[in-house]
Amino acid sequence: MTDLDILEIDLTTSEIKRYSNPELFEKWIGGVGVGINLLNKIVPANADPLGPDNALIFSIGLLSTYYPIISKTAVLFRSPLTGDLGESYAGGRLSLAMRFSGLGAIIIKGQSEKSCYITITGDEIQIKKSGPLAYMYTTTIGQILREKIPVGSGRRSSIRIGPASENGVLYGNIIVDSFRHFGRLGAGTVMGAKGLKAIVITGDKDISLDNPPINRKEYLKTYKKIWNEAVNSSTMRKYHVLGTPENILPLNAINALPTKNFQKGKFEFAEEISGEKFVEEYLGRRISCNTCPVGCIHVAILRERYGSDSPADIHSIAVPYDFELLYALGSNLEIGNGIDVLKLIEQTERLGLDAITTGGVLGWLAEAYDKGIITSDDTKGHTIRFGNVQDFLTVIQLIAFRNNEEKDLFWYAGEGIHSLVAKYGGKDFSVLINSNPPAGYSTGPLTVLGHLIGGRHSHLDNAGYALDQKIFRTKLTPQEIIQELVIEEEWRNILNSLVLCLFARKVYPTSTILECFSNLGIEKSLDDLLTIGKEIQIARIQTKLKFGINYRDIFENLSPRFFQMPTAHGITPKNIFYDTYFPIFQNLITSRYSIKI
Amino acid sequence: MGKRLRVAYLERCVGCYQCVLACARINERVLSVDRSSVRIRTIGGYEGSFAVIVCRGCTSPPCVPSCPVPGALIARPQKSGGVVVDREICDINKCKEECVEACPIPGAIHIDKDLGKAIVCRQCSICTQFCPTGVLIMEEPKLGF
Repeated sequence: MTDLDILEIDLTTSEIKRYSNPELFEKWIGGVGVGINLLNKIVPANADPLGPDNALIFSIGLLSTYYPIISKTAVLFRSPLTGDLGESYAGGRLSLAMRFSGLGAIIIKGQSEKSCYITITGDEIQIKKSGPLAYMYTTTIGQILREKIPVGSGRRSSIRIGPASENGVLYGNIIVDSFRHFGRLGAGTVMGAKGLKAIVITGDKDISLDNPPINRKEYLKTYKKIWNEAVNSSTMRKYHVLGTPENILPLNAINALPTKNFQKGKFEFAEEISGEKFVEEYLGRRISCNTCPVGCIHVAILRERYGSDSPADIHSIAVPYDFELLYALGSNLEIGNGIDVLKLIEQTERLGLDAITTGGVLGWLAEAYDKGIITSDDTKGHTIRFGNVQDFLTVIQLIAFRNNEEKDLFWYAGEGIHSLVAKYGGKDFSVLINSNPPAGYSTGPLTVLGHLIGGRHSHLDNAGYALDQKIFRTKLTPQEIIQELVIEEEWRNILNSLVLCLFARKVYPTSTILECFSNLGIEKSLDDLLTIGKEIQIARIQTKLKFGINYRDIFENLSPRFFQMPTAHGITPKNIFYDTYFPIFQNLITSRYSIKI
Repeated sequence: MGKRLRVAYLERCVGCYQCVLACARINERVLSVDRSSVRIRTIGGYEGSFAVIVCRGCTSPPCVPSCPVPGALIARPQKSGGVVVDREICDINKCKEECVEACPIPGAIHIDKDLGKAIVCRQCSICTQFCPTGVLIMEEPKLGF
């Protein structure tokens, strides 16, 4: 179980090292636990996120591939978008390919002078020149790499970046296999700055269930129990059927669907971009990540006309969709037509851009254009209007292929909203938390609070949006609220060390997680897990402080839009975060973690 | 009559590999894709379509007479078809993998290089119990092969 090696590749020197560190995995399980420890050791405080000192650390966990839905891989790095801790998770087949390669972590350091890609085929590791693969669309290079490395179907994974990352756009993503992503905080941009276009991993090692011996009978029993829960329980039903877009209509009904750059919480055309509509009109197939029987990845078929010479000038493209994409590139831009949203998703996918951040940037640009803060002089004659898909398709293209010499509007757009604000103004409507556009839940103040205090400032850190629902039913004091968010985040550190898909968190109650370890002969108690979750949180906060993050500034500098936008709880009282919640959070961090912020 | 495995509803496949991993986990006691008797292929990546590669349980299996090692590969006694590999006898050093060549479905019977043995479905139905969408079923043969 702990025979997971670490592979360290330095792209400056082409040095490749493979070594084991069983203690690291035994103590920190994997995922974020292992990743944060390696990051702290490898990346210095003053590392330029786009320089050779930054690292990308991919990691899986002790239980990866052994049990259903423990299917994710974590990547840790210093974010070029925020300068802060970068942390992102992706499914696909990557964790399975790493497991069958015997690799628990892959560290990419240094910087290659010319674009390259890495192949890991069993124990053979090579760094190869990209040549014409550089700047290729993520979709095209995926097809080429499958042809180039045909061995290992089913236990092979390819991850790659698109031209946006290679051109230095700070929110480039990494595409995993097809349709999964290390989406947020610019992991792709770090990869691009390293001159690394792709990694293809093919595992060739079977893992015996007899040597070392495990409690096979109990293992098989636990496996089946989890499988049953994942396939047959009501908990997971939404992921089978409508997928995450099931959230569109309920959020819209409670005034919580961010619309028109968070100006509104209700979208007139919500039904057109709903999970129900997409299943009925556009869904082409569902697929699963490795080891997951759920099949939540919803893939639409987009039929596009490419010419007007003949009515048959049509091609079709498979486009993945999820709730966050429908909010970011749909309601937030007032795009009320499913086909148009799919066109925008497809373009971000192909160019390798984080869809949420792209949607945030486009929302800011459209509002700035609407308000006259940027003019057609800035846009070089292009219009940027809410509801106009062609405008947005053009702008996405201009951002991804920005001119790094000229530094025009589209260059700043590629640096993120905070850079646009610094250049052009418009802070009042910049929807950002620590330079990062938030997820699509205008459920109330606690989703914002959750983003503010989270280790990676994500809704997934602590599910503040869920607490917004809870306070409709149960009154909580500010102290209780902060306490709940902090405890939830510590627990999620365990799930993210496993690395479990968070959709399945209810399928894995504490007792089941302990059972999973015990069956494999790994002794962990609940206390052990709680301690690890807390220690990971301490390490994450220390990393943030090391990179110079100031929580007080993040709270204090919130855009006024957060106190104007409608939510399910109405308008958020002005300065509640800084005046009410910040002192409580600050005290709790001091008392619980002995850290001063 | 007995039952044999049929890939009945391929359109339902989500490519989750539960069938693949279940076969290897339970029959071979390993976590593996290659040691499984059932395998999933994506044709053209996830953008393309899935194929389930598994023995269809012929009643007159062409792989059996092709095998040059007596007793290594035998037809199941059940009338529902299928074959059984005798792992004690099967030895790829004594053949040219004729069984693989004889089977019209590429990969339905394949060789595990580490074991040095042929791997083929034994019609045990484990994979059907882990397929979440009912792609694979066990049924009495209806078609004459």
